[in-house]
Order: sequence, then C-alpha cells, then structure tokens
Amino acid sequence: MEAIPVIDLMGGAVVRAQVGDRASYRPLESPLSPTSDPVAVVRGLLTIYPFSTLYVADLDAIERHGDNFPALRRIRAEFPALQMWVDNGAADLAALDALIGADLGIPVIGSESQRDSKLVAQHRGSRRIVLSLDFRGDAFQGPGEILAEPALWPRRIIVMTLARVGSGAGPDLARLAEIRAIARGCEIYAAGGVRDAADLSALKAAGASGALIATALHEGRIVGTDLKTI
Amino acid sequence: MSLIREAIVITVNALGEPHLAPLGLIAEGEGWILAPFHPSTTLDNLRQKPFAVANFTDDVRVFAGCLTGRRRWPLTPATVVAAPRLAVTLSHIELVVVGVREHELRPRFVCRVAHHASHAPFQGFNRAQAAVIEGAVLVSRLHMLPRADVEAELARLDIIVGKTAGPAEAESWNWLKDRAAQVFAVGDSEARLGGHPGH
Repeated sequence: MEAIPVIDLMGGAVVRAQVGDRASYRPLESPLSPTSDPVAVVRGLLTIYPFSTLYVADLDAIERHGDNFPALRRIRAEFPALQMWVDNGAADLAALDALIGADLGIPVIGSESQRDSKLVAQHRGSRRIVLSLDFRGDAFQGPGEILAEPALWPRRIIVMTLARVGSGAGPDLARLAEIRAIARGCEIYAAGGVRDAADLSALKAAGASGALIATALHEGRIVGTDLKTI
Repeated sequence: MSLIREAIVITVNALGEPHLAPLGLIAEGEGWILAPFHPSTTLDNLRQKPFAVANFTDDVRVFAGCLTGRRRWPLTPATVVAAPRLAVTLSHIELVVVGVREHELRPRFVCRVAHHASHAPFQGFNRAQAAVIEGAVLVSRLHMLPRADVEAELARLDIIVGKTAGPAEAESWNWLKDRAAQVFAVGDSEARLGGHPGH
C-alpha cells in the first residue's frame, strides 16, 4: 500500500487542515519544517520516508481566489522525481490542461467541485486524472450522478471523508468498503482520519491501494518504520 | 481525408530538454492529432510529457534545418505549457494530450488546444517556401523512396526555387540538396563496395 503525504496550499504557504473547515486554516507549524514554505515542508516530509507521490490541495484555486502555481512550480523544480496529485478545483478541461500542460502533476477531480458528471465521463478508465469522491459526514459532496455511475470512473479513486480530515476520528472503513464493492477494477485511496500505523494496517486489510496522510506525519504518530512495513 | 498542417513541433523530455521536429498536424474536430513515427524522439517525449507546442512559421530554414542536423533555433517560453516555442514564428498553438490511440508504427496523440497566439502577419504565398516544404518531406523519406523519383522531383522543385526564392528559401534549399546528394553518394559507394550492381 502506498502512503501519500498531503499538503494544503493557501497564499503560497502550507496551511493546516482543521476538520475540513477551510476558513479556519492557519499556516502549518510542524517539527518537520522550520517554516510553512512549501519547499521546506516537502523536504521535511521526505526526511520521514522517500514518498513517491505528494497530494497537493490548492485551496485558493478550489475557492476560485487565484492559484498556487508558483509554489507548485517550485516543488516540481526542487523535487523532479516526486509525482504530484493536484486538486485545483478543476471543473473543466481547461483547468486540467493548465496543470498537465504546465507539467505540475496529475489533476485530482474533486466531486464537490463538479456541476455534473461530464468531466468524469471524459476520463472513464483513464489514468490521466484521479477522481476524489468527497464525503462530509455521510453526505456525498457533488452531483449524485457521479457516485451513481461507477462505470464512468477513472482507474484511481480517492475516498475523501472531509469531516474526518484532521479530526483524529480514524478512517471511515465502512465507506471505503462500500465504494470498493462498486468500483470494480479501480485502485482506491483512502483520505481522512488516518491516525497511526494501526489505521494504515486496517486500510490495507480493507483493500485500499493507498492512504493520504497529513496530521499524523507532522505529529510524529506515523514514522518512517511504519511506512516501510506497509 | 483530413486537413494536415505542417508545423515545427516542440516537445520536452523528462529533464525538460526541448526537441524540435517538423511534423504534420492532422485536424480532428477542434483539436489536432500528433502522429510521430516509431522510433522518434518526439514519440518518446510525448509518452513522458503529454504536451507540445506547434509553431506555424514561414521561415522554412527551420524545416530544412531540422532535417539536416541544424536543430538549434532561438526559443522562448510558451504561455501555459512547460515546453518552449520558436522565438520567431507567425503563430503557435499549445497542445495538451487528452488521449492516445495506440499503433505499433504510428500512435496517434489526440490533443486539445490549451492556448494559441499570433505574433506576426501572414506575408502571402511563396512558391519557393512550398517547394522547400515538399523537398523537406522528400529528404525525410530518402530511405523509403526510389532514388530516380526523388531526383526527378527535386529537379522539378529546383526550377521553382530558382525562380521565386529569397535568401532564406535559397539557403534552405541548398541544405536539402546537399543532404540528398550525401545520402546518394553514400549509397553509391556502398553499392560499389558491396558488389550489388544495378541495385
């Protein structure tokens, strides 16, 4: 199973997730990095483990307040071997092309950013994008037709349980199992609530191909040896 | 039948190093198809970095130059894709690959136009420029076409270039003629050494 560290970018800095409530985000303070500068934070994360993929949420782009392309370019230039999955709130092909064309990574299409299933349907079975199925509590965020049509999904799916992001509540194993049952042939990545190595083991046992992790890395509750053994 | 436009296509490798190649862009809907032959640097690059810049230039020296070992032309950053464009070009489009139709010899990369821009006015048709483009196509296929056909075609185009070329067109034409003559000379000496008269 692949562990993927997550950073949230706002105004050119890394901010800390607080139970998915974006208005209350503050610059990241972490023992892994002296500052909240994106390059410093990524360098700190890579001291824990040689991650091959980094998940980046561009909160400004998602909220339609500009974007963090300069920070993404700096990460790309500093760590050329690191694959990036980027959620920039893309809701049309132009926003996807902006990321792919700029060589900044694989776009993540968030269900909560979509108006319909059109963009998802254009990437049926594809590895060009990653689809994030976003849940807040039990409520699916986004057009129901996306959740209802697993046949339209790309190869890689993130099951994002936003209410659990940064909450310490543990991953939503039931939701993961439910999606896995209908997403035949897809690789499923769990996001939200991962606290420790036991959670990673539980996700692996539940059939996850990977897990997105943020807070637990900065708080030292998941360390390099935990990641070597999954 | 599809419209094909001749362009200088710039792709980049994993290290971001640019590669220039003349390529015909095949029109499809609102986008374009890039169909580089296997094996080629353009094909390798598109597999690694799924974007490209297509330059529409009337400076035919770039076409003739790319086929005769003169690939260093001034470049400048493009607007949205991480590949450069020609510094001097009438216009350019920035392409992002949206899908690949696999084929052993000629995979087809289906591209969307992410950005386009014009830089200088079209100056009107020039027959010598068209002749250089035809000559460039011939020179790119010297190993596939019968020598007599190539020589007859080059002789016909030579007349057009002689009548209508400016300095850039004349220079380009000489590069192409020299290359064809070199390749044929090597073929002659190999034929003598290998003892295959008549082939």
